[in-house]
Amino acid sequence: MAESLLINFSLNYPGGSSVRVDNLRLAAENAMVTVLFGASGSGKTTFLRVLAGLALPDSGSVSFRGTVWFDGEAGLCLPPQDRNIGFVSQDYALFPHLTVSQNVGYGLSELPRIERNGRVRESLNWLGLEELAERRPAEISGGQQQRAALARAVARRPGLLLLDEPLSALDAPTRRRLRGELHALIERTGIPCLVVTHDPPEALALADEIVLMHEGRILQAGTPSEVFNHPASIEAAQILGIDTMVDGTVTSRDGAIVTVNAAGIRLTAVCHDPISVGCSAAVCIRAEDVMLSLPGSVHGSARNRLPGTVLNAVEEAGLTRIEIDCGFLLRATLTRQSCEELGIRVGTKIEAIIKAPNVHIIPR
Amino acid sequence: MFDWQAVRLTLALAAATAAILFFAGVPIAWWLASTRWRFRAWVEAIVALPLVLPPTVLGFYLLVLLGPRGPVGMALESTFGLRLVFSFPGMVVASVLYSLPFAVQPFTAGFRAVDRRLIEASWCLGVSRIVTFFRVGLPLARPALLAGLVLSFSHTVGEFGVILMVGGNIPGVTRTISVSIYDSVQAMDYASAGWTAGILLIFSFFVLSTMYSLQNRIRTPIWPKAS
Repeated sequence: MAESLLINFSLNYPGGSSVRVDNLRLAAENAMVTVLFGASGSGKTTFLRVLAGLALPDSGSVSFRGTVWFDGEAGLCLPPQDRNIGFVSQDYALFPHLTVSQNVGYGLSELPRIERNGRVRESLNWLGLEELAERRPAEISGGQQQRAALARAVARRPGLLLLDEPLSALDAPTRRRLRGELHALIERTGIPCLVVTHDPPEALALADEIVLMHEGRILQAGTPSEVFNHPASIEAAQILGIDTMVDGTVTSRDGAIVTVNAAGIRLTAVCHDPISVGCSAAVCIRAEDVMLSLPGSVHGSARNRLPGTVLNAVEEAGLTRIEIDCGFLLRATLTRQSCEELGIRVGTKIEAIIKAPNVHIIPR
Repeated sequence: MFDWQAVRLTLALAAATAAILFFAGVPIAWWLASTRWRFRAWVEAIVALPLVLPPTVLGFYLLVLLGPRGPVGMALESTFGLRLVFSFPGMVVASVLYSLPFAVQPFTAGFRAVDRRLIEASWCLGVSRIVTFFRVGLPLARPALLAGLVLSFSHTVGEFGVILMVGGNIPGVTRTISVSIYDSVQAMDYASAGWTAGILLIFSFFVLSTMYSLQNRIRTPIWPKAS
């Protein structure tokens, strides 16, 4: 109770759209990451701004670790200055007239000089920015700006870190690298963190808990495997855009070829991310990448052949969505014709075939 | 010949006006740039009035208001023994009002150009609104502040109508360069008028070109380039 974030508010925009959150309780234990996931325009940023004290809801209440931040009835709204938060906006908002180290030290002016300098050095060091300390924001790359903004936010040791699409403005390789650094930073500082994203791999890589938002409402909240494996509605499943997600552990690696153990099943995957043996990872497979054949048919080149049983088959616009139990829940999409030819119905023994490049590994 | 007294007086008037407008105009501009009050447009209109009103209209109202029989004039005279019309302080009051838009408008434009997200970032870093103004708003609006300062100074140097209405033409007390030139022309003394006008022209060009080159040299804050 004490270590949680209680959110309950509604905010109406003049255009008629609104964002409403009813009695959401998020754990705010140390180093806990909650991902706010949804398409753009789903109200994620408004949610974050309400928590930061930058947007004023029409009604409701928000409290963090027992401190009331907002109470619509009492007319109380704590200003951002009094919430002890770290807020990183999508475009970083670094002060262009200050150097990187001045940016990082900006919120520390009440500390004695020696302590302030120590904190700035420590934060710069955590994010590998020592060399860039005297540069201005316009003189460093996007990824470096992102790191500077993170360093500035954590330098104050806030009670809660709010990150709005922290990696979305970056190119893919930088994004993947920073994802790992962000994770390490949260672990190291122990600050609970709320991250807004619309990118499923980012959500999977970072989240201890996922909150799914759609059109200003919360569709579902839970652990990544709950949310990704048991979407509460078709809407939720469509937003997530991943059909099969299973937790796994890397058992071996040979260049880009990675073997993972997922729920006791050995899967071969192709992964270009830095990941070492023993690491845990989310294993994702799209339904249209799964081929099905009857057991004992001719061997092909595909690395992964998983025997299983059909649990469920639902027709949907000429395609059949099939759920297979092969040690974990695997979803496949087939045309109705193939389904009829294979004679697939509930209980059919089947072999699922997945090429290694279609098994996506997301380090966690 | 050349009216040095008038030059000294004009520079003193322009400097006092620009200084007062800086300290009075910056808070007004910061408020105008950040408020969402629905009657803001009225305040903006009042600030801009001197741009459209003939100087004689402003001068007339000031004369009536500040004169020995005007409400403000009477109050000042009975309490402080101060008479504003036909005096240097009176001319400063008139110049401040007349040059108000030349300071407030560039200041406001400068503050509006400061990205709102930077202000919010500062608040989220625990820095109060007022300190945020000094640490983010002021430094980022610096080129606009300098522009407003130059404009209000130069506009006061070139002022004529309001000064003549409120200040009159007392040598050494209220006779500025522009009034002195007018006086010389009235007296058919084209040589003096020519000298004073020429010096004023050269001086104005010198001040403006120095200020503009300074302004160009100040590192214009650039929004960090996107990735």
